[in-house]
Amino acid sequence: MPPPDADLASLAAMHAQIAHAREETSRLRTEVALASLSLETEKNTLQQTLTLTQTPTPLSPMTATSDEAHILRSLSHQLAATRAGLAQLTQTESELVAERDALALQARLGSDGLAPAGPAEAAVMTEGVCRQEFVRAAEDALEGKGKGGEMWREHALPNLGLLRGRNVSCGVVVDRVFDGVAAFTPGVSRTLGAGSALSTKGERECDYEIIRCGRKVKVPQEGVVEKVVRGFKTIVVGDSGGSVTLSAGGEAVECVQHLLETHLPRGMEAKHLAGARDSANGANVKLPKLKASVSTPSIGTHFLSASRPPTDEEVGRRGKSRGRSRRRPSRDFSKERAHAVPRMSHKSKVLSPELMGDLLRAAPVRYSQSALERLYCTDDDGIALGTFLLKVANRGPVFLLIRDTSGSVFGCYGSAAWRESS
Amino acid sequence: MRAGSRSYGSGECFVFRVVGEELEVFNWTRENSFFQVSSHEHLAIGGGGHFALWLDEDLSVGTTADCKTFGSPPLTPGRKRSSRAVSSDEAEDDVVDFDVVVVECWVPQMHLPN
Repeated sequence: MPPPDADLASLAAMHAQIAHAREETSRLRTEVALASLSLETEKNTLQQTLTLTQTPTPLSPMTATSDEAHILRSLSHQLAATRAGLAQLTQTESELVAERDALALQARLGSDGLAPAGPAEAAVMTEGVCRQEFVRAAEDALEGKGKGGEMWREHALPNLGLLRGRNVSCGVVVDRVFDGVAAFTPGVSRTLGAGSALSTKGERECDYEIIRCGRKVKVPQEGVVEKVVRGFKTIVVGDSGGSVTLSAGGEAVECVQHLLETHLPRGMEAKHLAGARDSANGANVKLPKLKASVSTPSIGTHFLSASRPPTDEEVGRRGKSRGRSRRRPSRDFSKERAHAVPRMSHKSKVLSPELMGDLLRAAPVRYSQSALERLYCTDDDGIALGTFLLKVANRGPVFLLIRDTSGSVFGCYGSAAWRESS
Repeated sequence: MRAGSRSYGSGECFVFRVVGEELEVFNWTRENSFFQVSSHEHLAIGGGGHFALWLDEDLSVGTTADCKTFGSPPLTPGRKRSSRAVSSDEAEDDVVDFDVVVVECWVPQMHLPN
């Protein structure tokens, strides 16, 4: 028997149901696959964000990225700016160092490399420009020619002693002047040797002439001239009994020797210059006292010396001193206080008369017999630098005395008058 | 100091101070040749690092320090610098400020005016 119709119908229905279920399943499968894919994508994005920001749990991936990058950018800018500033500072520093070195060199050489700034340097320059150059430079300077003229007159000339007599011409740097010297600023003979244009007209009363800035000053005959050169030992150039004695050490001795060798009269040289090479300490020649009666009052007692030549200690002290801020023993002024105190135009509010005397004796010895004139006092003249400079202008070397609120008393000696500008 | 300003004066310059009853003089050491410098606003002497002595335009305050030109120490104990006021490159103990009570200036002369 064949199955009933009802069975066919239900069979068909069952088939339909199955087909429907298959469809449904297939649809669901697709959905699952899609969802899984999108989940996978999300997961990747999240992973990337995590890696990018290196934060374990960013609050929101998009916001975290923009904040961090912004900060990083800002910091980079700051770093670049700091580096640029540092480079600029380094450059400024090297420029300033170069400028400072140039100024130091310039100060050492003077305005044109010819005129030195101080006594020892004048001596070094003397050595280098010995002979004709030295003479020529001094001649030009005395006539005011050339760039170095003013520097010579202001600095080198007052420190140079030029001794001319018996055809001896030499220049040495003078720091202190002792017995027997009446003047020590230089004149220069135009033709070295006999028959110089600067020789005295027919007068032979003195064996040597000391010439100051072109004017002749005659000095009585007796005695020798001792020049003490800072940094060297004593150089004695003298005329007692017709001999010239040189005893010296230090760098200028060769220069002076050469000058003397060139210009000494015959017969004098060997014996006395030989002594120089031993660089004896102190004078070889006994120094008789010289009565200074010079014709030019402005020189006059200016150059009366201290009563004694320098001690070995003082001369030796003039050697090179190296090392920073090393203090050297000062002179014992109390032993020299036997001298009268200097004449003063006012009573000082800073130093006692005894100390003023000590101060004057510490100055170049050409002032040792000077009086002291007070040009300025803040109590009376006010506290303006302008007024001060006006009052001291062109008055020459100056002592500056200061008392401060701690009660200390100190100051300086300036070898040139204070000016308005350097 | 204006760059380019030059010192004047010679190696005869010196600085000094009074210690007790005695004068202590510091002569030129030949370390350098910075002597006198000046302008409308200051006077100074010594150089190559610090001035030995520096005075301002009112002659009222000054400084002093170790100076190579003269081998000199600070010439006065002066007044203490207040530590908060200095910038880092000025905080050196050996630059001393002082306040002036009186300044005098004297020149050697052969004859005094009447």
